[in-house]
Amino acid sequence: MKTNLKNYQRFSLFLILVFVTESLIMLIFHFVWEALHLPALIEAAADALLLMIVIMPIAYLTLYRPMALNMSFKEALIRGIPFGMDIIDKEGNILYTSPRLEAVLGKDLLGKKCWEVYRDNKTQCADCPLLKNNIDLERSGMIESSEILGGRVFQINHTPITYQGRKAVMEIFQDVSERKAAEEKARVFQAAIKQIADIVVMTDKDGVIEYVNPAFTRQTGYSSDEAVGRTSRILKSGRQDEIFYAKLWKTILQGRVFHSTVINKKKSGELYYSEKIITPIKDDSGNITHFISTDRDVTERKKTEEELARANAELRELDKQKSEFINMSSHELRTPVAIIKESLSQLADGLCGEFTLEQKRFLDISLRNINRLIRVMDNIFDISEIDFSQTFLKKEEVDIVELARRVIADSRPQAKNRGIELKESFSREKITLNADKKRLNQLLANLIDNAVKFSEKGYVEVKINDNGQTVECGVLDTGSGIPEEDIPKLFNKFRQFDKKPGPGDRGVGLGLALCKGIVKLHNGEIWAESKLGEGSKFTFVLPKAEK
Amino acid sequence: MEKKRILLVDDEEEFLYLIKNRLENNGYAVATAADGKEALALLSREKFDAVLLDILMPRMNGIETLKAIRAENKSLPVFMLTAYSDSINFSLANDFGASGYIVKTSDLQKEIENVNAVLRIADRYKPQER
Repeated sequence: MKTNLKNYQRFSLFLILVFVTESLIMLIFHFVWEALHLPALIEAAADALLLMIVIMPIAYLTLYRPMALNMSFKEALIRGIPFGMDIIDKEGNILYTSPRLEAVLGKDLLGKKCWEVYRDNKTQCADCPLLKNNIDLERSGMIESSEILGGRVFQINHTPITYQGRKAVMEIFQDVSERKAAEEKARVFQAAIKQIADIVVMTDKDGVIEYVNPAFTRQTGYSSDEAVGRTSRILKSGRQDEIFYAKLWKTILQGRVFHSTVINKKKSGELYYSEKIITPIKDDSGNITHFISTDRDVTERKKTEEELARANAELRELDKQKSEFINMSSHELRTPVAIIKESLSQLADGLCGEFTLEQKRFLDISLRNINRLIRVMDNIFDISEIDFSQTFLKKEEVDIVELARRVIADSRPQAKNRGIELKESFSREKITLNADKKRLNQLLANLIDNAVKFSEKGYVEVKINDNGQTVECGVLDTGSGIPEEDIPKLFNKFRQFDKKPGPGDRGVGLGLALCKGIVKLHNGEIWAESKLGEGSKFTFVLPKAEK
Repeated sequence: MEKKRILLVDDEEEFLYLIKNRLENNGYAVATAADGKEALALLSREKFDAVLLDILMPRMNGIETLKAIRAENKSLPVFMLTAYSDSINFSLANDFGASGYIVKTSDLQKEIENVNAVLRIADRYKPQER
């Protein structure tokens, strides 16, 4: 027996069954009674008994059982529904509260006004159906109300019902606070993605586009309709090869984030640089369901980078050209000079016959000045070589003590000529450092020659100290000293002071600049101290080991 | 004692003349070549104890000539001649197996004495011939 028949239908069915059954039985009894000749009273009693026996199961099956099932269904519904339920009258008085509501708010709600119980501010909901005219009471509806039971948001369904004989409204309360909060969060995120300047593209696990944000349209020219349902191949510029895409898919299918700069093509055909990050989105089981790709237009940045690279390349080329020019000039000057020197040298050495003393003197003058010329050229070209970053040092382990002693030995003739004593104030113990031997030689020679050159009398002393990680070398002289204001400019190029007339080389003021250049190339320091009338001290410190 | 033979290679004719003079004055027998190709041809025909090789030459420069020489002979003393004073060429020459480096503007008598020293040492290690 189906229990969803309405009550009146059930009752009608019951009556029909009773009538039919009763008629049949009466008919049978009548013939039996006739045959057995039983008195009419007994017939009536038997009849009534039979009626009862017949009615009971039929009544049970058609009326009671469905009702009972119906009843428990109703009760179960009321008890089981996860929402609070009440019934209010037209004035808002609470007539009935469901067990669940009672459990939360207590049993003494009856008679109180609905909004006084539920609303934080005790006022009616803005769109309360009771506020409108009666017509709305006939209709089911739903309102949303906040500030309920402590600031929560509820969805209130109301349905017209007749309760205890009067028109009433059944209210079902659903706490949607969490859902509201989540909706708000989602709304904020959506707005963010809509408004974000970066392009956001979401695809399914096969790369088919499901969503693109407005920034995508702005950048690529493809509208949302044009993009959704297609793949990011629409942006393919052809600048990335198949290996690139293979690597891309391999990375993201493994669940890893892919990060690269690519060249994409807009709808207009224009190319642009894009910094792309693709992130796989996984579900709770770890399966990839979507990919999210953010793109950033870095065309400007790339342009700047490329321009910078171009400028650098141009500068390097210029550098190289200058350097080649210097080298060629160097060669073109030095070759004839070498020839002149050798020619004069052979004459002076007597390889082409003997000369008179007077003739020899002229030869010597020429030779000395050729050598001077060579030293000047050396300085100029060395300095320019050091300037133009082409120079690299040929570093090896050099014993600076031995080197210094040799330089001093070379300078002794000149010192002797000027009446200057050359002192060695260092032990003969080896002190090795990692340096370019030729440059170190130049450095010492320059300093010592300078010291000798600018002293009229007295001595030039060379000190060398081993300071563990570094080597310190000092060249002292007892010359006329250097004015304090000149000291800062000492190591500049093309500076020459103390133009005292007298014998000896003047140079072009490059010697100290060269010294500084050499020291700097070795990551060292050089400085000068001086007292007018007493003398000067030039010191340099070099690290022993290569950094 | 037999004179040591030196092959002099330089495209500057006047320089060749001067150096040859000085070398002969130092007791060497000197043959000259104006470029790398000529030098290699001479080397294949005659025996030399040392080569003085200019770096900057037309057609085949000193470094290339050095490489070619070294391909045939790893032990022949080869000194690079140069007007340059920079260290880059020096390293280059060293990398390709030059035995030494002579700057043309230096004191050439001293430089030749260095060559003497090198050749004397080379003598000591020469395998006995015949």
